[in-house]
Amino acid sequence: MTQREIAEQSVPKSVNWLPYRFERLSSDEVLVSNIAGEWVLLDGQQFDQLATLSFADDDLVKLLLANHILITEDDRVSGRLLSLKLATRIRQLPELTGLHIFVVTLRCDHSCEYCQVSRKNSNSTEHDMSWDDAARALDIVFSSPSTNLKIEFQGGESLLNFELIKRVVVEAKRRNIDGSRNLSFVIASNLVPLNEEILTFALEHSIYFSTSIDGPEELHNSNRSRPGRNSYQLATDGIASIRKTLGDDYVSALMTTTERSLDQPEAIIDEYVRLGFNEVFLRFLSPYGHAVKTRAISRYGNRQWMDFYQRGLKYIIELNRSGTEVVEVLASIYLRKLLVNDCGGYVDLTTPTGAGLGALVYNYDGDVYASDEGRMLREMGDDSFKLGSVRTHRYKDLILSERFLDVVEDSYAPSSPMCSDCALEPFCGSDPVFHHSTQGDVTGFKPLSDFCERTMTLVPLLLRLYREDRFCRDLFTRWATR
Amino acid sequence: MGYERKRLSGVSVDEGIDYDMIEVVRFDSRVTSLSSVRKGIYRMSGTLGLICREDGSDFVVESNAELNQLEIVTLMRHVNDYQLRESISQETAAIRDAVLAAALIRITREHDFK
Repeated sequence: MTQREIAEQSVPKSVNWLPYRFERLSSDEVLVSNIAGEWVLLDGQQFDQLATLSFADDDLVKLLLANHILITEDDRVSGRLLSLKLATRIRQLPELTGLHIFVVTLRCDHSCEYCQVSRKNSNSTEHDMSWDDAARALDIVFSSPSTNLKIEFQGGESLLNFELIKRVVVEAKRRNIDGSRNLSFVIASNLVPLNEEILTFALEHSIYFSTSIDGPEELHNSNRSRPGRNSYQLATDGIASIRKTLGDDYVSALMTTTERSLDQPEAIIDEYVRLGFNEVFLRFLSPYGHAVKTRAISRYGNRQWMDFYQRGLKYIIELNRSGTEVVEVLASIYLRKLLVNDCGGYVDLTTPTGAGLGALVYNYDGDVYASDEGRMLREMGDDSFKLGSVRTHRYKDLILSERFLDVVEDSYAPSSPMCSDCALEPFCGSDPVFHHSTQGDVTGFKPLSDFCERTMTLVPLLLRLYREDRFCRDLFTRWATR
Repeated sequence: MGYERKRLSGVSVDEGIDYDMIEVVRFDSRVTSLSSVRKGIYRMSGTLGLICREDGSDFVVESNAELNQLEIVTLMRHVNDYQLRESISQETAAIRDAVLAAALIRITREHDFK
């Protein structure tokens, strides 16, 4: 409803609360949200009126009615509208397990200090996935109910087992001959092994590439070491080759924040813009795998990352203000939840957890994990998120196992301590793997949770920018609806 | 609702370790629920060691260290806020359940769960 439509409404005599939650963001700023994720920001005096249902401000009543925080006594429509909005918000729930990650090899020629996978030497094939296991994994892929199936090949360096990738792609397309699923493929790669044969195959089958660019050449090469110290050159050459053969949209890049990144968010973003990318994902370093062994994860804390993030977001906004269009991906995920009622997509910020329900990971040895991070934990000796094996389990065995259902239930945010009362819960998610890894508990102790602190800091930041800066309002709307 | 500070007898938290607990604040159980007090304590327990016990008709919050004025005010505000949330939840329970059920029925009808 527009501001004008709200203003033109008559003020009812008697109103009651609809179910809502609130959170004080500062001494004079309260976020109020309902179960369908509609929200308003109130000042303290306005919130007091809502809390006591004694209104001195007609416009406030109209605003709260329009956002389904209040209801009139004779209203027979708002409850239905609220349920419709809630149904829209959770519509992705039955679309279980759309992402299927095949770890085709652990071999890799890089030795990145933050590697979360615990790579193996690039000349040994004992850590390659076999065709038999890949075929069994495809049985599971096509047993999942989602109409949209994305198969992502990861490593190690996935292209070191390109022969298997080819067989999986051809076989998956054969199984989808009736076109009943929307099938897509992504190869996550450092692009070093990229060649004409791979590009030709990718073109024939419309395969997307996802690679790593950590920032300017010096930063990238120091983070991602390999013989020859030329990771950056090979990655950017690969990006250029993919764009030339398949098109600009067929390659995307992700960055990982290390201690060396913290003082140069602007340089990292400039590098993405220079390389022709129109989005940057300012990511936190996950506490798994080699990143823990090398202590890369302990070299900076959540607060330092959030300072880095806020500086980066501010710079991206300024770039947009001066005419360079670039999107910050994490902000756009939050903004989709805040502005267009879209909660799908990013498995780390959904509830119930996206691990398992949103994605399954098939390891090189046939073991199946609830998430990529769960697989990384196994490489550290912790198999808490191993669901089974492609050799012995079917899709339903994996998803309906008691062990997994316990994780889903215990981490479900609307019934978790602190989250169940939090007004930011509709815009947050559940990350049982992160909380298990950092706190030894899938629910997570939220007063000390980095995951919680990030949402509690970043969502209010986005809301304030949206409210106070007309340019940000338009920009964020574009990010949310892209 | 008010608060006073006094040093209480030691509480054994772990084998061989005793903490002197300090009374921080009292809540009248006739107007404040135990769940609100517990949630307020939980919210503050990232940096503070707090527990709650019953004393007659009061819920008494104790800490293992002196709290400053800001921390006490923040705790009281959290407890008051949780008390309000509890009222909202109770008064809107029927419509919340109806809205949730209607949304789930809608989703179930749109999908074939075989």
